[in-house]
Amino acid sequence: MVPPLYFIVLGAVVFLIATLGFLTRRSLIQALMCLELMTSAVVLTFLAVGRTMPDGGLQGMALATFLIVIGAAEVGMGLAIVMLYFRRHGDATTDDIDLLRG
Amino acid sequence: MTGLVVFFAVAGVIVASSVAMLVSRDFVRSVLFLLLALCSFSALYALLDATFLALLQLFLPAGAVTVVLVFVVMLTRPKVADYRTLLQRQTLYAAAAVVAVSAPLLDALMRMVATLPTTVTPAASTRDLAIALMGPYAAPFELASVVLLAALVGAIYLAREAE
Repeated sequence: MVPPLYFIVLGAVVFLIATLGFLTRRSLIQALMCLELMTSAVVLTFLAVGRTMPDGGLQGMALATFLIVIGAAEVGMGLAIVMLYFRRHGDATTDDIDLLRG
Repeated sequence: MTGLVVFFAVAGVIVASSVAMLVSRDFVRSVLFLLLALCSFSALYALLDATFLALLQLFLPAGAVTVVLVFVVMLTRPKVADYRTLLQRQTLYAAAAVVAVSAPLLDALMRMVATLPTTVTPAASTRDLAIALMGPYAAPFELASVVLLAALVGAIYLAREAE
């Protein structure tokens, strides 16, 4: 069996790569793609930690199920907002969206 | 032993495709790299004996979400990113922030791993998960369906053509 530490470190590394992308990419679509990658990395961590528990990973699997569902809902909403913004302004980059800037 | 080989092969694919997704200038290619990464994650879930989660990962994030992403890319036709926007001043700050976060994060993870039990227990089956989702986790399960419904209605409301 592969030690859970490997999965956890991989999850952290992918999460950090996705964070870097989320902070640097200017397109909202790519920001959402990074969010999706982050969700998968967190699910991997949940499953890896859950697998070491005495219940055979049941708790981790249940939490991961909810996490995937929430992730799907979040991306769906985010893309709807991107579409709406694009239709109104013709582009959707994080540089343009500064309506709330003080 | 085979597990380790599979793990390192899949981990390499995931890290490479995530980085490729970030540096790719073309959006469609970027989505395809994301698809590869998400499918590889499903292999890792299967390696952790979470068969149902592996299939869910293939259907939802890898299947449905990437299709929607491709649709949005096609509909909005975003401009191909300039190389200048890949390497900008804020990249440096972002990298510094990520490095600053990674040290305490990895430290906390290492300390958590040290506390994990090392005895190997038989894996919970999909049947066990189904019973758990209908039993002790019934309330969050129903709540998740409400969240999905709300997201569905909200997405339709936001994306519909204005009269």
